[in-house]
Amino acid sequence: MPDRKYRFSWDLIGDIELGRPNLGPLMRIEVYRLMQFAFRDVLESHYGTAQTDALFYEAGKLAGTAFYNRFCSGITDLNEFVRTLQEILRELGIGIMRVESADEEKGSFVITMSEDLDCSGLPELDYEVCVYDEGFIAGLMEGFTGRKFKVKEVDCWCTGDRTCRFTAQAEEKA
Amino acid sequence: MNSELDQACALLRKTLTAKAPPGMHADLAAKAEFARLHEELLELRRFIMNIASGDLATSTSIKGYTAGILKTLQANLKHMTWQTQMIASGDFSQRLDFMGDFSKAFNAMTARLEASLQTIRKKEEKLNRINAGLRRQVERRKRAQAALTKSEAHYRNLTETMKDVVWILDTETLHFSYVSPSVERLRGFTPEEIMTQPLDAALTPSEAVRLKRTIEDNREKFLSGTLDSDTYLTSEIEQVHKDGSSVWTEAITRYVKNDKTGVVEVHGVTRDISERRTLRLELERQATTDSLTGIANRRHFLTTGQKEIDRCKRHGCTLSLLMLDIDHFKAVNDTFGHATGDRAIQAVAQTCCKEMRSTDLGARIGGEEFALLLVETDLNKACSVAERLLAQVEAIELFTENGRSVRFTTSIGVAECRPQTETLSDLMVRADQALYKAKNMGRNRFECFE
Repeated sequence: MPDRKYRFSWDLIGDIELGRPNLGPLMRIEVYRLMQFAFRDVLESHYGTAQTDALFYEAGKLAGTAFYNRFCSGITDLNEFVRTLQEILRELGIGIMRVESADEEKGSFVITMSEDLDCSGLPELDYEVCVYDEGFIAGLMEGFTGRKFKVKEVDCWCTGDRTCRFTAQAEEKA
Repeated sequence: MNSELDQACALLRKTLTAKAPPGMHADLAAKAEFARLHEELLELRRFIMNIASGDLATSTSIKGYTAGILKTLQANLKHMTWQTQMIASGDFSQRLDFMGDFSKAFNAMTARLEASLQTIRKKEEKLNRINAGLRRQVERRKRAQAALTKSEAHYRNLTETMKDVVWILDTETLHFSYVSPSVERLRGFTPEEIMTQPLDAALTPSEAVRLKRTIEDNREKFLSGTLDSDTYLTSEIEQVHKDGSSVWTEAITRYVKNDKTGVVEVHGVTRDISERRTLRLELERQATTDSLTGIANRRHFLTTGQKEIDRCKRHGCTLSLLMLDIDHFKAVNDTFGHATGDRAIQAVAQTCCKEMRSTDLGARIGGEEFALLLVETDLNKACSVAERLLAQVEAIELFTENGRSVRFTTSIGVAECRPQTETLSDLMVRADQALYKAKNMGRNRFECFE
């Protein structure tokens, strides 16, 4: 699509300090979730569940890539990368990220996210809902490693778990 | 009904509490919902037991709050495992904030480990600096040692290959403390053999006495400050060779005080001068000897003769001079040729030598003129010698190449030295006057200067 209207750039986040001198950068989680689940509803009704999930994954990946470029660019050490991510994700209220296992050589990681922005506190739905997070983590990992990643949520608050668990696996090079 | 409920409760209770869960009764197993509940309980039990035993890789398909809490515990333990691995790899920034008191203990341990590691690292850095300093020091020493070794090698090569012998003698023990290997070429002895023997063994007996006295004198001078280390002394020494022969050497020495022991040492270089000495002696012999007769020449006679007169003056002994000249020698030369004349001169010289004692001095002082200085001989005794010489010369008969007989005579002037006033020159004048008198009175005779 040559003449796109909504191509993402970090500029679109805007000057929050200027724009919200009284309310500041914070808002209630409900508002975020209201928007996200409203999107899900509308998109699903238009494009179906699978396509909606795919769109959310893709959007998450775009966000993850932009996030990596904004906050983590230039980091080459895994520990420093994880530490930086933990601090920023916590500071921004996205979640408490932890690493269960990491095999950099094999490109195999297991990451958990507690108090996740997307799902913590949701009713049990018997299915995982953090597909946006999957894409987000994939974008981060690809930014750090330069390799394509497939990220899958295996435990989610919505399936009764208290912590979201993601497996991230680098894809075989083509 | 109550009994069935009791059975179900007992089964569930034992499933929760018993070490080994009991089997389910067929009646209860037939109830699908109960059987599912029982199966989920068993799986939850297995999941708990696996985590409790440390198997964090275990998983469960059970959903719901309780399983979720357990999974959170599993996730926490896995994250702690990862964090521990990170700490083990040196990342001390890892902190726990989700395990209550354990988090505090874990964080305190990590902080302590980090502090300890920093302390160790500081000590390690300090040690590294010290080690680097030591390495530099060792390197410097190695370089210095290498230079020293090289220098020693050069020195050893020099001392081992040079013909001269370098040595150090302890003036107290009169033993050599160092002798260079070249001594073996000079004297046949190894340095070890030389160093285990006293100085005497290196010298002829007379040289040993002389040198020991010299060394003692020089040592006294050195200690009293009248001889310093910058003064080099040269002397010729006759040394003993292992094969029993003697070797003439020249030693250049200086006296030095050993800084460590305080002992006065003689540092010397000795070289073989046998050939040089032989040549010098030959030159001296040639300079003092008449080439035709082999007896002393005029110059040697004048030098030595004066010394004999001086000695007589000192000791008050008598001394006489005979001046001898072949009669009509020109006629001998003219008649029989110069070769015959030379043979006549040689014959007279041999006659004189036969008559002389070892302490006397005989010389050819002119063409056919001889002088005999007879020590401890008064005029009467000298006259007797002259008389015998006249007879012996008269008895000489030479033959030319064609067999012609050659005979000749000699005239002799005799004078006794007046030791208190006279010089050799005066004595020779008087003896010469007596000789002319003998010539004038008919030759083949002797006359005394009264």
